[in-house]
Amino acid sequence: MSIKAIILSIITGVSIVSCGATVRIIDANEQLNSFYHSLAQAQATGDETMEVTALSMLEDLAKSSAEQADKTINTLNKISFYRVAATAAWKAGDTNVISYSNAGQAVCKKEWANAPRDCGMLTFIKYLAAVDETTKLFAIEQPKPNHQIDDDQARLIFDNYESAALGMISESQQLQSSVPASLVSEFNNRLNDLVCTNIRIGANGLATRASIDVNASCRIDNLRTLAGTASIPLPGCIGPITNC
Amino acid sequence: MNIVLIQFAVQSIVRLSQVGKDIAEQRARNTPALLPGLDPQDLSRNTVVNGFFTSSAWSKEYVAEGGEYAEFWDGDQSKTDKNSIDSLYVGVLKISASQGMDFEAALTPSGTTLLAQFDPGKDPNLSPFARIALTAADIVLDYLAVDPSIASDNPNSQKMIAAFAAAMADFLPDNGDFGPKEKFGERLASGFLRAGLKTITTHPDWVVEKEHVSTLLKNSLKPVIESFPSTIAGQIQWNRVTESIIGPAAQAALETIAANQKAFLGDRFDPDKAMGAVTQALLVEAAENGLHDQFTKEGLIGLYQATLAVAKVKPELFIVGNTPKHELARDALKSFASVLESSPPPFDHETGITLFAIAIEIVGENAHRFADPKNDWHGVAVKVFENLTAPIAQSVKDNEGLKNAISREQLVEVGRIVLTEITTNPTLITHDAKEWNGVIAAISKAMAADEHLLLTGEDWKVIASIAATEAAANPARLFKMGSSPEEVLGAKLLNLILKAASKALLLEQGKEHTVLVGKTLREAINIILVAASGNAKAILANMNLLGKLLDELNELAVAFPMEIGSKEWLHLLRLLLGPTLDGTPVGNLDIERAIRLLKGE
Repeated sequence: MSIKAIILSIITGVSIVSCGATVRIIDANEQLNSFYHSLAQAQATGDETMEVTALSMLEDLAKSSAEQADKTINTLNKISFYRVAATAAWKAGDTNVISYSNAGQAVCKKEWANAPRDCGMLTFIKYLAAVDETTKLFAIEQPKPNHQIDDDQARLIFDNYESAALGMISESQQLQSSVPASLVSEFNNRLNDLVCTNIRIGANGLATRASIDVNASCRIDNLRTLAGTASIPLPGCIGPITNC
Repeated sequence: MNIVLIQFAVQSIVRLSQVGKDIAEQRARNTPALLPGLDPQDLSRNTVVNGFFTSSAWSKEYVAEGGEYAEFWDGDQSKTDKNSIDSLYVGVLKISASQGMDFEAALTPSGTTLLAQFDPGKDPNLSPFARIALTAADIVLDYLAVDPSIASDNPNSQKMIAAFAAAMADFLPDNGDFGPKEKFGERLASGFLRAGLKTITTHPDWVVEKEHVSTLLKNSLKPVIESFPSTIAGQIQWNRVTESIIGPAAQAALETIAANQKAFLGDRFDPDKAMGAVTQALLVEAAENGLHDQFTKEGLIGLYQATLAVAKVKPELFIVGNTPKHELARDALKSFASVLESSPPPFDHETGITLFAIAIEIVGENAHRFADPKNDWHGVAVKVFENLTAPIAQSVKDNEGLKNAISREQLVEVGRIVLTEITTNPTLITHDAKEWNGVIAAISKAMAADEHLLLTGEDWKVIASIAATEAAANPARLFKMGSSPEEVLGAKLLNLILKAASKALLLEQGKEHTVLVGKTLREAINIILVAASGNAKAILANMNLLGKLLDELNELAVAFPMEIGSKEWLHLLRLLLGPTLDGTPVGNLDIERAIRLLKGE
């Protein structure tokens, strides 16, 4: 067991499965909750050491869960392990989130009805990961004075957010009818956050300050229209939609 | 809920063990899953106002020429001075409010949440039926690996599973809405099932009667589950303590049934109910007050087992009308625990618990004889224990050497012998002048006086037995308690004999040649106590003569070891004890006279 594992084990009080040991779903879940809680706490208090450790532990958990998923024969167990792996990778900023999600989704094709929550999450976690990754770029540009904002970065941020939103909306049709209502609600909330805050206020505000034309209002209205068509409410976006 | 169906399901799952494993994994997969929120954007007011007023044709109108906030706007973006940005920000708040939105709150992304695998009521695997079957099957599977004879088609296993299922069906809600209380109950019931299966393997002759086990379980568990606290701290404490104690407790209860089948036959359910009340009392007492160094799990289980034994034979002590009263059992356990905590060494730990368990069992089983209007039966047990241990503890304190000479087990045995013996004579215990207290006083005083450790622990056990038997046979003679322990005639006699034995050691070559030690001394005490018991008045009048007789015999044995050994010494005692008690001095006992006496001349 590594030093960081021991440190986080002391901080969180959660015992950590040693490398090479068989991981149980219940343990993987518990570790995910605990490591993520530590990360959130570290970020809230500005404890950088703890944050780095928690990020690292999430990445390790993602890896070990994915390895366990690969080894597991039972398809439903595979799905659960991939869900843990994808969630942990997302919050660790690990780009493997895509491969973990895709692997899980492949198994979900035949087992969706028996693991609706896990399969639903595997469908859109990669988009949420893309959003968080873009928010990190945003955090670099946003504090700059208007004239120092990198035009290409500002454009990229808008594009990336929009791409994630379009991806989520396109997946929503399957989700609405096949996952628990609570997951649909949480999915809708996150899409609302993405379109109405991250894109409409954040990415659009940054582009406006950089004086680049991204045709924001039309593209935002387009997202709102698509969401409306998919019956996804976006209460955070106020004002009427106008066709460009 | 159909118990037969559950039983059948359990059997099926056992036969198809992979199915059971799958269900267990399903349960793990379906625990709530974490869905984190998005990372928040760090938004400056500058970014916010530029984003807001350019996000749609509608919002742009506010900063277009003639618009309400046009003066703070410059071309395609806001003016950069602080005043303009702040004014536009106020505008954002106002416009949002006019649309019914708290703008700043809306900027906070959705938080982290835990999500269920299925919508409520749509989980195909976690009905109460499945949960019961799963739990039972998991446990049976565990045991199958160890003991194949316990296979689910074993009639005893079937009945045990049915009783378990009935108990669980009693407290699990049919809608499958399991809270902490139900999960706690499930774990307790599982503890019973495990113990039940273990008992079946250790008692192959046990014919399980489902109704009896079921009655025990219901009376043990349901009220405990209903008392499960609602606070997190309370639940942690209850889970920790009860989970540590449920296994041994259930094992003890079921062992009691298995080992006493006759007491649990037919339609008589009182013993089951009473044992249920005791079990319940144990679990609640342990959960509420915890276990600690002074009063360990083993200690509590020891007292519990003893109380169970009482419940088995005297269920009426724990039942009022037809209802089991765990309060009565709890009062008993509490008073036992309390007295043990203040018990003096060597009775402060295991020795005290073991001896107390014996006292509880004996007093409880003979509760009708110990009838004392001032005290409940458990109050009497406490008094008995205190009266038994205090004098012995004092002797050990006064005579340090005893600690090595008498083991703790032997001390317990001394107590057991006295207690067992006194129950054979009701008169010893039904009135205030309790002669058995005199027995303990006499033995304790003698122990303290045995400075040279002439007697072993085994010897003291035999002496205790003789003394108790004599006290039971002839109350109010040798061991009638006077104003002080020293006045007990039996104590005086034992003291006299031990003094004589010690004196012999001081004779020239006494240590090498004296025979009045160990078994000979024990036998001498036996002979004298039996004789004295039949003639207490004479012994009282001729105590000095008896002392002289013992001295004479000892001097003879030390001086003539070839002629007077243990056998001869004891024979001479038997011959001369009668005349001595009649008041005839032994006179000059030389070796020639002794040999003549031994020859019968």
